[in-house]
Amino acid sequence: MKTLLLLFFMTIALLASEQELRLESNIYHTITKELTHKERPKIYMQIKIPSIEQFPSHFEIVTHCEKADILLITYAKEVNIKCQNKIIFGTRKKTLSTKNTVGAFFWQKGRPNILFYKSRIEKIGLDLGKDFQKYIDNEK
Amino acid sequence: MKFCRFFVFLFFLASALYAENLDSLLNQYKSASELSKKTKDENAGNLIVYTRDDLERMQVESLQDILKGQRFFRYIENRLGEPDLLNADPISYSSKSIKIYLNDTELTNPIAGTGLILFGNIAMDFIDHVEIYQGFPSFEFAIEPALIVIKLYTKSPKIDAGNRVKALVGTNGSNKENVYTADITDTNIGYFLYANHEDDVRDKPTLKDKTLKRDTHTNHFYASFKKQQTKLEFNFLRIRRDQFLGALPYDVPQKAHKDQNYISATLSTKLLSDKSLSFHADYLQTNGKYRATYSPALPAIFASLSSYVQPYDASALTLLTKKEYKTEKNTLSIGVQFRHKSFHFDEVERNGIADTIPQVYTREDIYSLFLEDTYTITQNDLISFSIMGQYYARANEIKDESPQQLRLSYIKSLKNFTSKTFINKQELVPEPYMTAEVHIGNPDLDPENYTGASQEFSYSTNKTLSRMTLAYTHIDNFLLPDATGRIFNSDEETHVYAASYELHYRVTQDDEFKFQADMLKLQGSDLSMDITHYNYILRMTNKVRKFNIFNELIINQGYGHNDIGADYSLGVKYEVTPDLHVALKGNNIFDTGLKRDYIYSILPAAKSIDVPIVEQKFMLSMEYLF
Repeated sequence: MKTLLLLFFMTIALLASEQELRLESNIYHTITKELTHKERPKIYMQIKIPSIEQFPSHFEIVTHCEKADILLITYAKEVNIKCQNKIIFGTRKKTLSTKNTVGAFFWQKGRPNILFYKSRIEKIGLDLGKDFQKYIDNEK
Repeated sequence: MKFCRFFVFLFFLASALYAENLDSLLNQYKSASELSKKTKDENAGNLIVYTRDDLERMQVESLQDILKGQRFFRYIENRLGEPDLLNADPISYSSKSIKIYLNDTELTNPIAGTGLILFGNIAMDFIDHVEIYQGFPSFEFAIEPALIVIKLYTKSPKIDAGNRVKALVGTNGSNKENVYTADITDTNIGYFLYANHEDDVRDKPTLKDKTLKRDTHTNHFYASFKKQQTKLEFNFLRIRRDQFLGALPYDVPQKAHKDQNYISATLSTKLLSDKSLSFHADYLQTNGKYRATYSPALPAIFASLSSYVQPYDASALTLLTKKEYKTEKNTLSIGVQFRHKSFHFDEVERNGIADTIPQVYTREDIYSLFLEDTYTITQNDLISFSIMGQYYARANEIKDESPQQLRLSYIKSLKNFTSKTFINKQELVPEPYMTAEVHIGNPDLDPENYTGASQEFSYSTNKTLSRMTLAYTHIDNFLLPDATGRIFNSDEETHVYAASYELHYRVTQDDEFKFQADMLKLQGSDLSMDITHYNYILRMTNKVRKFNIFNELIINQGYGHNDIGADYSLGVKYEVTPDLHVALKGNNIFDTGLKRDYIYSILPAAKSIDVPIVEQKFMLSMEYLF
């Protein structure tokens, strides 16, 4: 039987990177599914998110924010006024400075973090499942 | 190839199936994102990796903590208290062929040929992971050939976004304080800034009514800025180190210390849509001053010396460019490298009077052209061939050199078994301190010729990894000092034999056991004795609730004239919150670690003093992330 350990020597960095991107895409899917209650949510990305670009099968990617179920933003700048009623989720902690961003998934202090602000979730009437409760915090 | 894809599919499917909830996904994501998985190169040499997780669980405070437990060699200091892993007292410096890198920048002292002398015991708080390549690593790393390459990778702006402060207090009043901050700006520039102050205060033995000091006071600043594929780095280090027994093996100095500065800037980038063209430029400048006083003055035979001052300054400009050509089975890399070195260390002052004897040469240009081809014979067989031609130009002040380097590697892998074979032939050109210095230097030195082979076998299961490494090297023109200290090329052959076995057993995700045994034998007619040393290492890392526990026993035998050393270290780290950690660690707890015989006087008869290389030390530290 042919074995494939050698493949890892040749492409270890590539595989590690792919694995990282696939898992990141899965995390975004888990979060957006919970926020939208849709198995395959329509998402709008403020800028391209490499993990979702490479592993998009769980999403329907839209190019106009009006058509999206959820907006994934990377920079804390004003969202198109037509889309401010949409659910907005951040890919960096700084995006939480935009008041209608409900939460964010980001690296900080050497570890990946997920954070939702309780008041913002309640404001738009979202009810997150028990798996998500530990990631909800009060806004400081 | 279809089978490969199927296997990769299974690999990812297994990950996806396992990822049932967010916690589990996050843990897997953190593990998959480890930087060491992206930077390590198994084909580049016999590789040892310390991941970020390893460094944290071993409570690594300084590079010494890693180097003291290495395969085939261990952390040793020379008679000046400087890190010098291959040192054989009273030779001045011996580790010229161990190269140390910070990311892709070589930390070098152009006079010594290595930066180990400055960075060999650097605080590790800004380091993400460490890779150590033994056995003539790939030419892609180094403009000058190396026996061992130590690569330190800094923490990243993305993963370490935020701030951290750390404080440590230790035995004898040792202390360390550092801070770093990292983030990615709205303009997508990632930055990492780090500053460290450290006072390493050590025991002070008394000899002939004089106090011997090995304290080190360090200030270090590092900054990196990255946008897309372009990175800019700055590194500044200032060290004041007490010089223990001093440079001269004639008597114990009243006082001896060296002040040293190091500053460097690096620009690196990757070009073209497939990032196959890379460019790297760095410039460094280092200077310092050695001062020693003798009271009473040395005897008349040593010029009644009562004070000795030697400043130095050196700089190096390094330019590298590399292009990769990839096909389905072949990767061809072609690189051109250039380094300009200039150095001055001849303005000596004896008894307050300038006594400059001009050094033999003051600058050196190194041109290198390398080609490396890696070919996948089958899915299980990988072969790689490298050749590097070099030219060392010394502006006609001493003879130029044109060394050649060759390297062949073959990797065979089966389901649980891997074999790595490396064959090499390298020529190592003497460094400026060996050729340009007028007292011990010798401008007629020829390059050392190394011909070697190493074989590594490893066998892994779900919970274990066993690895055996065998190596042999034949050296011609080995560089040695004669009775007067002057360096010469040995006419006799020198042989190096090395063997090691290691076993890693991961009981659970948080509990790991490691055993390692290795030996190295250096044999040659011109050596005053054959050197055979043995190292044994037992290491356990465990996690019990919020406590990370580290146990390590290092046994060394056969170093110099000393008996067995047994260095037992224990560390306990308590996670008060995810952002606040308190740690207690003891190094060489029973003060039974390896000691070293240092010669302090060679006339009328050699006299020496025994001191521990790694001292008994207890440390309490706290770190806070915000």
